[in-house]
Amino acid sequence: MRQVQSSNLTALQQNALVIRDFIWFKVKNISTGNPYTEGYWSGSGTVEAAVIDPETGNSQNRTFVGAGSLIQISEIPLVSNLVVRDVTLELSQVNPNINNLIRGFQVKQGEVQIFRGLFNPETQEFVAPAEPRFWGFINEVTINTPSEGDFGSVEVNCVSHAQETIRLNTNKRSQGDQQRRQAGDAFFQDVGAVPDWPIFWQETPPKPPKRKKFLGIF
Amino acid sequence: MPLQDLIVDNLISQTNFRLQFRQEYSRQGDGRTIAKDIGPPIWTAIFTTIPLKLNEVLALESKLNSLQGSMGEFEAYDVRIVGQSGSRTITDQTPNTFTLNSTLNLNVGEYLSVPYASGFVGFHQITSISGSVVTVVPAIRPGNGTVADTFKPKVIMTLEPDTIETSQTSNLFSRVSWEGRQVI
Repeated sequence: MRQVQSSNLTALQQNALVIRDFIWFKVKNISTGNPYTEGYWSGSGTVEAAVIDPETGNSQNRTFVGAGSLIQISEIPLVSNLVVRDVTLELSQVNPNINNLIRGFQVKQGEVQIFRGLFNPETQEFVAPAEPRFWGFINEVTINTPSEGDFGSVEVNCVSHAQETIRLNTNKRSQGDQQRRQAGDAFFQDVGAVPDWPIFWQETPPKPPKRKKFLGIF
Repeated sequence: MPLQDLIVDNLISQTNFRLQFRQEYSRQGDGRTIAKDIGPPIWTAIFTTIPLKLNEVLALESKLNSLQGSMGEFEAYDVRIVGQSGSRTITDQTPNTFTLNSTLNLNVGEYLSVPYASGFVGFHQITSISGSVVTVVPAIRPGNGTVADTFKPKVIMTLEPDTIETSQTSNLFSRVSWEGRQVI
């Protein structure tokens, strides 16, 4: 069962909710290969916010940049089965921070963490450290450059770690592949020829198919 | 540099300053409605001039055109209130309160304009005053604003696209109206 912090639970039971979303990216620096992290949130200004690190379960302070870098987060499926969770983030394509991240770093297979923080509507202060809602990987990035009169965005499609359960094996059912796996193993030696062998179970072999007669001409 | 002389006291007859909240409402079976606030609110305003002579209209239109649509920024203030002269020093702040060096003569409903080092200008309306602490809307962004302007507090806005309208009120006079949106 999903654990909700007691102070967050109290806030959720109120009539009014003030929520902000936080996204944390962990991508790769192209030249050095080192990880690079950056956070965005749906509020304005740069904040240092406490979030619960999904890796450790402990609260951690991280810096999140605001001011319109994040447009929208699609619905996040909260499930407890093996379904691959699919989340699409919409980011601003004109924001310098986003451009730096998307175009300046290797975002393929980068890590994405999404948190949701609740605020007290009276004091506008954090109720509790923001709860993690999604932890996955960047699957596809589409930069939509708008034409005149249109809106643009950067669409980042993210999938959860459950994607590994539907990943296809690259191994082939062949002698060559088996030799790479275990040299000398001859199990798949004749695998290329065997599918063509006719196998029959009755006493007499099945008749070969009749040859077509060319009627009328010969 | 934002256009500074677009909003002038004796030129504007009406400013509808409004906080545009970004909220979602969910009605439940028992009639209870739960509001969900999903983003920081921004200030919007509709400015309408007094009937102007046609040459004044052209001069104003040229200023509006110099903003190049929604590209340029302009300084705006609510002409319904002048505020108190000078400025106050911010000594402390929480997400929705400022502690000022003095709250003398400040009233509920007045505005505070807080320039930040980053160039952003915070614009807040006072909702309550208690001693030297003023509670404001919208919530204050984290940062290092140290001075709160109280005299004709300015908010930086851009034009809402395609909202400049000129309506002729008589043979010699026209009103101009336009809408602005706060720069966040």
